[in-house]
Amino acid sequence: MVVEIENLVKRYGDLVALDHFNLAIEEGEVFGLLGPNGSGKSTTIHCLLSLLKYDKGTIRVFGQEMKPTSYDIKKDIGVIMQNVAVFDELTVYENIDYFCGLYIREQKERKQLVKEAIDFVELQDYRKFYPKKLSGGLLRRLNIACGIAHKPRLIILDEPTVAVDPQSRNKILEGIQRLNKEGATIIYTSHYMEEVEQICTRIAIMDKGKNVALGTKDELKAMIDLGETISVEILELADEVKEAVGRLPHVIKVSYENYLLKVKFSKGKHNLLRLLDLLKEQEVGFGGLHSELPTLNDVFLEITGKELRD
Amino acid sequence: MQVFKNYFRILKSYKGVILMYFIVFLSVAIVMSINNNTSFSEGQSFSATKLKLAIVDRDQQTLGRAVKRYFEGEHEFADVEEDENAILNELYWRQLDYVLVIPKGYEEGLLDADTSNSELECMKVPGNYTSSYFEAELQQYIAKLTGLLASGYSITEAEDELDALKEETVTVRVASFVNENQNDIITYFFLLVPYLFISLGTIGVGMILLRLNEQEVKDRMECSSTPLKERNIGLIGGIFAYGGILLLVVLVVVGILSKGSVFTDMRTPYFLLNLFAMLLFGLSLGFFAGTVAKNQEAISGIVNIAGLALCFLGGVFVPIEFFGDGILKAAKFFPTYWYVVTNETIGGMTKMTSALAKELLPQIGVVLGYALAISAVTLVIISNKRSRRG
Repeated sequence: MVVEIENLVKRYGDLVALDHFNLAIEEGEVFGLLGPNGSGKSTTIHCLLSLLKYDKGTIRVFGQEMKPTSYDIKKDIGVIMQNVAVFDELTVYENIDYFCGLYIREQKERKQLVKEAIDFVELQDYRKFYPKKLSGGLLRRLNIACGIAHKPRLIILDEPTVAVDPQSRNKILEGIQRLNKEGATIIYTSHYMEEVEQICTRIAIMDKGKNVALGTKDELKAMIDLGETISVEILELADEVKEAVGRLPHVIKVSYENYLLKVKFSKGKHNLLRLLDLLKEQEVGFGGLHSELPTLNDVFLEITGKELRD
Repeated sequence: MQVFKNYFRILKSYKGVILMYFIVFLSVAIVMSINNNTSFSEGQSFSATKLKLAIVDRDQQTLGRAVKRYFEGEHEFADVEEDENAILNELYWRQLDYVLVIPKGYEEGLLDADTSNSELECMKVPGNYTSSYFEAELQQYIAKLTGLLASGYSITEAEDELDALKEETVTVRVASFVNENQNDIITYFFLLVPYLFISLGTIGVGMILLRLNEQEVKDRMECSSTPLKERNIGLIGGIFAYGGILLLVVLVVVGILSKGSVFTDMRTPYFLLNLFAMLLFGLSLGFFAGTVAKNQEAISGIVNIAGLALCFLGGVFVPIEFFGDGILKAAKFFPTYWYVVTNETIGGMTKMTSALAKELLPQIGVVLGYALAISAVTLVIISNKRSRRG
């Protein structure tokens, strides 16, 4: 195991930020911590890195207990926090060199690693730029380079794509997958479910400091009753027809808003056919039609009763 | 080593501000030091003014001649006829500044100790303050003369006695310049250095600490495999190296100003000790500012308020001799006051004695005490911040 967290409890006065939280991450995983703001993701990461003291529980990294003075463990960890952590007074190259130098003392080796990190995040043309001259996306890439330049075995990314343009976001996500292919274990926290679905091999869903669900994305989706959501564009829908749709087998919920009929089905066969037959039978004309499989947001909604972005 | 190097990398970006403070300080200090040095040592700050006087002696006794004899060293006397229009004309054209009129019977009244019927008169240029000064001198002369007459001297004996008294010279020294060394360029330049150490100490340490204390950067450094102790050693090393550079630059400048004499002056080690204490105070103030300030503007505020207040109220910019009792009492709470007092003592020193050492060391100790106290308070603040976060 790369990371083992057992019964972790962290309180801020009366507020319980982490409530007997458990987690185990294996080598080579891209592990996603998914949850809304305030669910305890960042607190977990801060405790894992010994940046925060916790009230109860144990944290082991690479099989050893993690403490603030565990420098042998820290040398194999790379951290990319939610907020950009660089010096405005140093250039791109100097920033990466400085943070890499906190792990790698040998100058020649460091020079090579800094070069590789710059190439990795594609900042070759910005080596002598100061952070204030970089766009939000480039700044995030610099932030990542500072965290991974020393080639860590475990990389922790805490919401690295917040306020990043789509192009830079894709580059970041591709980069994370490349790092994983090169052998690094990744812990990725986000409240963007699409990102987590895209890159994570296993996902833990957090809410109120607890681990409410854990598994691969398919395993998580299999946990819930929701099978699919079918949306149909209809100009006019009579209440009797809407009620008839609600009486179809496997239907969980029916809604009609803005000329769009949305029908949620539980797992079962021939849902689409039955719906189309009913609409034909009732002589209801319709336009576009599409079917969606459940998302992690649906999983979260079913488990906690609220949306991920609430 | 990485933290140490980074200290100077970050400092490099503040070189403009540092250089600006340095140039302004040096310009002011050099001009003031040179000016101060020449004006007092060569006596160029004072020049005597001679008045053009005349006496109209209606009494025709000895007093008129005696007055002329007594004052003719300091002023020029002209002969005038008693013609009011002619005198006024000469006063108008500034050919005369003051005309003393001794009325008839004045000396007799003086001998009888009763001049109520005949008082000295004058004609003068209106608004001329130097003639008022002569009037004051004249009154003093008459008062002394009256005193001697009352003691039994005859009028001629009293006049001779006053002439003799005038020949005696008395050396007067201003209290703040007890020793002429105290006024030399080295002492005066060192007197102004606290402003440099306080302002540049606060900027050079405060700005860097402000960056290093940003939570995100701090977290990233905490996560690194460089131990906290090693990082702290690097940081403290950077602060002291920066302080060393400041001290070195000050010595080079004073070396140039004093044409190298500072390096052979027996007082230099004691000056250095005093400077070192003030340097530590400046650096500790920077340590404090970098810990409590939220942004660069706050640091600039601390530099301006602390720098100017400490220097004005501590006697760096304004001589302590000018302070009233209340301000003097308040000044004693400032480390700059103790620095200034020590600097003046060292400046006036011709050799080190045990008595002098007993006087100097506690004064330097006060400045060091302030530096230690500020550092201790800052460490407590850091410790509180850490425990609050946990």
